[in-house]
Amino acid sequence: MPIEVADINKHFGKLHVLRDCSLSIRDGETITLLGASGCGKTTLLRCIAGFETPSSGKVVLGGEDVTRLPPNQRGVGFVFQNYALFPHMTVAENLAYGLRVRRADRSTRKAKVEEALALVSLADFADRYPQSLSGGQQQRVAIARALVLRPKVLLLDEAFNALDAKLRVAMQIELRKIVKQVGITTICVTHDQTEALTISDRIAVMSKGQIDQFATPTEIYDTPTTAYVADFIGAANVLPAELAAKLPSLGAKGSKDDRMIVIRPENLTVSPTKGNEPLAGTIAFARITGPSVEYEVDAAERKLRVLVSRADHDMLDIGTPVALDVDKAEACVPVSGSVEGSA
Amino acid sequence: MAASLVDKVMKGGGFWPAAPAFLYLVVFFIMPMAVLLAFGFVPIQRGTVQSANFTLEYLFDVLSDDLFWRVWWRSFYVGVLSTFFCFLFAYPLAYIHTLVGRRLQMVILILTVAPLLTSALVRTYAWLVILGGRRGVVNAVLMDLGLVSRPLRMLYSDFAVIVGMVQIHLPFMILPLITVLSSRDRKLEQASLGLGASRVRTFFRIVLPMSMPGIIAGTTIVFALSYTNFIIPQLLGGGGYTTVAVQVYEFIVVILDWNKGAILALLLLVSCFLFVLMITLAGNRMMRWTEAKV
Repeated sequence: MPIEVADINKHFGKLHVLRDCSLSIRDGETITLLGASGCGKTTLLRCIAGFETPSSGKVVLGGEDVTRLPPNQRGVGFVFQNYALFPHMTVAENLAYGLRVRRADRSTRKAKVEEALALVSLADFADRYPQSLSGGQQQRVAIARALVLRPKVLLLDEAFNALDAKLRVAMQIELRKIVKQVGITTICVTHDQTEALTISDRIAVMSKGQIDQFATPTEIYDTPTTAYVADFIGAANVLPAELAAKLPSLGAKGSKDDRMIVIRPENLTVSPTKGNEPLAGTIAFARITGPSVEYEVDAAERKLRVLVSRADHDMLDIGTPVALDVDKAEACVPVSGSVEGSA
Repeated sequence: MAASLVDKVMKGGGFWPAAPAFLYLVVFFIMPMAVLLAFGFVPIQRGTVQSANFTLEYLFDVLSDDLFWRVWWRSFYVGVLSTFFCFLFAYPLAYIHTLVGRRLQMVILILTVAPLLTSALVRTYAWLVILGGRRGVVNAVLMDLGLVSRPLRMLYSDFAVIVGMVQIHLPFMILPLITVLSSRDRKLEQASLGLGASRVRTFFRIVLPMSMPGIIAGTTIVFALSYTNFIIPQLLGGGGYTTVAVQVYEFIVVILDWNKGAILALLLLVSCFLFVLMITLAGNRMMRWTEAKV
């Protein structure tokens, strides 16, 4: 079911937590709301679920305006951060809860519960209590509990947070498979960029209550529109345009205004200085990250990150004076805004 | 030896830190209790044990007496009804407490605890004034309003006793309920709403079962207090109003029949313990009262 979020604002007292948030999500798409804590991503998700009512704006699910509908009338599946499984019910009873609300008879309940448990590979756990399951199993129960009702939309609030790193990746891949198999429109909230890249068709990067950019992972990485987005997804060097213009291969690109230029570490190059380059610096730190070498270069009163493939590069020692350049001018994109600390 | 004992206590380990309290309870609670209960099984005359011959005679005497069963039945239903009404009044209040702002929460908490600052005896006497005869507060108001022509007879009845019990024991129901309800996970209610359940269903299937530990705590305390209370039936029930606790007092202090008094005390204690056990077991099962087999 397509989801339309139009100009949502939300105030909590004097706090303005959501500012004109708009999203247009296609049927069957998986998107992620990504941002640091406090950026409003969970509030936006809760507005879509109906746990919060926006101060202004609209939420439209499949053509129907649901902005004023309570959560129990929206037909939306929600997976909570800590899963919110009912501790006094078994796994099967947790799944059957929503079915009983809908007055499904016993044989229908049994069939649907079994089907949903099979989908998340927990068929043998029907009669266990949630407390006796591991974190990953609890999460799968939570997802199954939402999916058993065949919602048109699935919402997940930091649903992978409580899992350890290894399990998290496995579950993300698992979730991606399940939602594609069921063909359900999915919105996830996370502050973990790797998670966003793993599970999303498109990512909405949020900061300070606004949606900075809403695009595919590739677009977000290759052509970020703000310095914040560039810094949040992957590593980025964000330089003022006039400074970036000193890089020989980049030249005057985008230097006409006061915008910032994003250069990914893998697009920067270093070479031993000849003494007359416009932008030179000193290697402050160097380490091997497997196939490449990562440098930290002190130049123009800032620290730049450089990632160079080891294939055709002799590692430089700390303290070596180097000249900086870029390898592909088109990979350097102008953005608006600035990033504290990294620029 | 002494040093190692001090060491142990300082490390907070083992039984020793509890020793003073334990000793106190053994000497001043368990031993007198054991002695009292033992009085039910040996012949006693004029406050002196006649011989150490164990006998069940007094126990059978009491159990075969119709009067005892009638008195027991009154203790029982007074206990049950008081507990029921306490729960009925306390649960909504405790639930509201978790919904309102901090200020109102404080007000509710203070209003709940404040009565405990006055002795139960004084509050029981206050009920005498409120419910009592022609000049009692309630009757005065009703007659002034012309709602009744003759004063209602409220004092010295089951009604008066239960009203007194409920008022005096209400805090012991409210406090555990507030504790369990305010520490509940609100996400579970949202999850229930998200799964399509109405607020009413969410309350009965999630909130109520999840608050069972508080309900068990509250009902066991209030039942035990009401079932064994002696002052309230004595004062608000009047002279002819007898419960098991009142009978214990009469047998031991008034009639000086220590044998029967001890037997009644034993029966009261053991039955109270059994009821508390039953409430706990039933409560634990009722946590899942809504769950039919999938």
